[in-house]
Amino acid sequence: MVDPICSHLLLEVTAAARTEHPAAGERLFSSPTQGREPEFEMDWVEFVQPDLQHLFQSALEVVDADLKGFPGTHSEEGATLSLAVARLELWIHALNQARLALVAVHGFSEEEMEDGFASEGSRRALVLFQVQFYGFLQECFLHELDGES
Amino acid sequence: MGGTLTEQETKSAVATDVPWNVVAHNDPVNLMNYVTRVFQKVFGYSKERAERHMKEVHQKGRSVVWTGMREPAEAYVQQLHGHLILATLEKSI
Repeated sequence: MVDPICSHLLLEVTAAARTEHPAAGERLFSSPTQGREPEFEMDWVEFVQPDLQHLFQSALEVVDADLKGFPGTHSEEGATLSLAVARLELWIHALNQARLALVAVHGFSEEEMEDGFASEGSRRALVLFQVQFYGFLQECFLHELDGES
Repeated sequence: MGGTLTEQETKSAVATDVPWNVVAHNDPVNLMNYVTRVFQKVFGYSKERAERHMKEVHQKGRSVVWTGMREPAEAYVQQLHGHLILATLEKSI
């Protein structure tokens, strides 16, 4: 059973994972040589990044498709979401993408990530909770996949 | 002119012939068991070996996860980036 707050956060996965923000783009499309080979890096941007972009987008499309109609009609306790095990890899990817993008965009420090406390403001605290919730889901899905293998 | 081309080709061959390291870098966001799973999937490593690399990344900030020819090394970096792991290509010297 997914409660209303978590339902809202689930519906935010694909928006959180967007790559348009410069900080998110910089993290999701990181340098393959840390700037040591500028020519190779230019080729990478031209030929490899579109493939990566396509891959990332595919994961988000799976999440969007699984969330279509969610939460729909639900009880006071919350809604039910059923996911196929075969699609969990892509869910894990999308959740990871969302976490990385959120941390990059909001500039969370390693200490904030470890403590689970945002240093300022309720908005940052909410986003940090969102990052942690997605991490919890990733752990659950990884555990499920480990049980399958 | 022909000599210059040959020289460039030789230099290029030497540059790509040296062993290359695929290096995974620490990232406080990626979950440890996720990173382990990616190393298993991309390199076909056992869970034990993948965990060793994951722990090295976590404790030392980086781990050489594969060494070999340039072309497969590039492909591995691409695969790691596809899984959102921070990874780079370095000469193995």
